[in-house]
Amino acid sequence: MMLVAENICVRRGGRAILDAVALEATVGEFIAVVGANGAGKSTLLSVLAGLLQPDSGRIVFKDRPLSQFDGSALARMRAYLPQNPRCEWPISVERLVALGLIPRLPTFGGFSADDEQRIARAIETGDLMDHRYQEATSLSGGELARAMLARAYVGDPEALIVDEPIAGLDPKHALDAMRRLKSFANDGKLVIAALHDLTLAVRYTTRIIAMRSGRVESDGPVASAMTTEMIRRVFDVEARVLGSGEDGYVDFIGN
Amino acid sequence: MPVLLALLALLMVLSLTIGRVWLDPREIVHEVFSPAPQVAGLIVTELRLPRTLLACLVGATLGLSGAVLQGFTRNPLAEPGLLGVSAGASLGAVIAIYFGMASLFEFTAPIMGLAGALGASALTFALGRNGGTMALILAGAAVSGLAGALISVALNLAPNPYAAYEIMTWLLGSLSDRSWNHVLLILPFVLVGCTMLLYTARGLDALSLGEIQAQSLGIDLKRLRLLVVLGTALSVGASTSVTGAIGFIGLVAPHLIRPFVGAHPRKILLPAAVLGALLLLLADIATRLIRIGPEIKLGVITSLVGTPFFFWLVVRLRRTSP
Repeated sequence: MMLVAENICVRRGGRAILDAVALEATVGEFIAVVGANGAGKSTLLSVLAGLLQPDSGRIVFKDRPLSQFDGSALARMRAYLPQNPRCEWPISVERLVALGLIPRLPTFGGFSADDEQRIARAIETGDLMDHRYQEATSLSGGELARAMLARAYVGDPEALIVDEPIAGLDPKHALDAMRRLKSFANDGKLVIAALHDLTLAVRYTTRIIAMRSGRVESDGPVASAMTTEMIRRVFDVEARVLGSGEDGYVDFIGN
Repeated sequence: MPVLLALLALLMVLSLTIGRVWLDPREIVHEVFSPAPQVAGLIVTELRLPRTLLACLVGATLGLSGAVLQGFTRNPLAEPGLLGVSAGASLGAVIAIYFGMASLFEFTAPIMGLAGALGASALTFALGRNGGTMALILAGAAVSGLAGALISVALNLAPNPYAAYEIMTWLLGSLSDRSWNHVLLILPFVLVGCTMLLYTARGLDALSLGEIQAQSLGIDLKRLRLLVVLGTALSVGASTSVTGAIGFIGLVAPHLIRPFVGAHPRKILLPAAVLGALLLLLADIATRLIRIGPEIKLGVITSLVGTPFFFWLVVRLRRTSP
């Protein structure tokens, strides 16, 4: 198992944000974490990424408890992208992507020729060639999201944890991003993403973890987990689930 | 960067020649290396050289700490006094002057100033430690406010007009009549402090993506915060305690550098330090050249020249923002 979460509890102000969450994930999986707003998806992803210390329970990454990793070592192995990532200074897109290599840099010294090649490749796969020298603060929302995703995979991590990576993307770039995440999983990496678009989740992911009020409501392969019954329990709406895999389609009817 | 360094070297030479007595550079070289120096040689080695070096040290400290604090808070208005360090140093020195300790021993004011700076930053750090960057900024503002209030009390209760005048002139900031002892006194603090500030470079780069992403990239935010606070306390605290509070250098220098290095926080640091030294040296030369009545204080010059920069910032913001 690549990533194991045992009995994770997170409480804030007397309220349980995460309540006894347990899961196991392995390489090659593309896991969609779905659920209504406030269900605990983002908190779960931060805990899995090692950015938030749970009140109880522990995370084991590659057979070692997360608490035993130092920051840089962990950062080399997993990349994390929060919701709506922002860039605070008008640095170029190329340099923004390069920031993803920070955990790989030696204590003293800058980027090697090999690093520059990685950066160039990430910019190319991110369809960002035209924006390479543009200031990141002047990018559109979708372009920035692509640049941030390139920033996350430039260091070639083994696990990619992304919070709503396709929020705000146009259909073409949303499909592109899902395809790219899928290909990471196919390359033997673990991808965990919080998603709101259930149709894209059905088409591209391998597994659905549905959350409700801080608990895992259902967890299973996408074909069996994405049901009208699950959607009713998790989102409190009526929906129709048509087909599965590449032709899958989820349509909301009403409540 | 080479241009900045060349300009700085030129200004340093100028700074040695300009003053109440104008000296020829050739005369300086001759005098400094002669076995029995005359008046000109003494002026250079005992007065102008320490003053010039002090200007460079303090200016570089202000430029560097300003750049670090702007990168750390991701706020273009951050300046070296943000964490309450300058106000704390001023308060310490003012207390020394107020109780007449400064006249007993030459270094009472600087030492008290340094103690004040360290005390103030410790208070800021204790108050704002657990609440992220915003809490640290607010704590710094509170500490600055407290120190400012206590300085006002000292001015208000000054035993005689002369003491109040002495406090006022000290607060305006100056580099005149500083000796080698002052340089040696602050040198270790400035060196250690600035080294700590330079160690923040990578963390500042990562922080351009926000605190969460910086943390996910393996940056230890607690360690970074400690480096920023302690580095500023030592370097800016020591500087302020010898020269008085000097505004705007730390605010302006990083701004002038930023467009030339693609806004990259790490790349701003060293050029901002050099530019800070350059600007302060320029301001100090100006105080020696402008002769209208009493000496124009260094802090007055930097504020007078620095304020229009603020206007320019506002105008530019109005032009670039939609």
